[in-house]
Amino acid sequence: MGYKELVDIEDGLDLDPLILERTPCIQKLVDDFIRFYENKYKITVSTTPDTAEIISSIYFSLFYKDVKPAVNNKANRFKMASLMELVIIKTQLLICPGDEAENKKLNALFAMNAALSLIDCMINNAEQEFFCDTKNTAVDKEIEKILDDHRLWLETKQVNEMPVFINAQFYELIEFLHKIPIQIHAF
Amino acid sequence: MKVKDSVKQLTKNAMAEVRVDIDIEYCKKYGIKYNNHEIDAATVDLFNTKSNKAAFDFLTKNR
Repeated sequence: MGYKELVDIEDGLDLDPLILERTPCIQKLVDDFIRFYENKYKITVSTTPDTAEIISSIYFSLFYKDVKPAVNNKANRFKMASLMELVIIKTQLLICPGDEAENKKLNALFAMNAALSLIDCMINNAEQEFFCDTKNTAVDKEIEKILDDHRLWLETKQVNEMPVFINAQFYELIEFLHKIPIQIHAF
Repeated sequence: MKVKDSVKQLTKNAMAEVRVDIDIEYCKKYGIKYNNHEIDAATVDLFNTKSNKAAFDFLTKNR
């Protein structure tokens, strides 16, 4: 079966160049995450062969088959981040010593890291807008709790269920919540 | 350059297993489209180390 039949996408669209073009930046994400994780937690992480190419391939296949047909022209950063996160959860390609639960925790953190990094890349001055300290301890604590709950959901969800659209709304709300205190301080 | 056959097979398996949360055929049939803040990702430097680090620090702060 050819690739076009495989994903049943628009006639004449060959995804291979897109998949391969984006594979190096996904590899960078994988390498950076493993380095940060190992430095912080002193735990060695390994990967499945072709990790970046697998993520890229499944991401673009799903994007063109199940996301793009339902959006106007181009998808926004939240849908892209949502899909990237769910593809990582589906594939579970990072491996750490320990049991299945430890592995799921690791991949959940990696998936959220990918989603937030992707959103960050697509906002101007994102550090000031998205990752800053809100200066409001209660808001920070609440956002931390929401993120913890999201990570727990990623650990426990059925990997084949891909709620891309509602998950995109989660990230849109998280970004919105971060903006609120800044807007209040601005007045 | 082509994607590896082993990756294509894995993708094929994944595509057969997963389901997204909306009915794409329904969207196509009735011309339903989600509104977007449209982004052209083609020129964006995705997953640069600065963003990867910012995201990691944000997620692992106090943990």
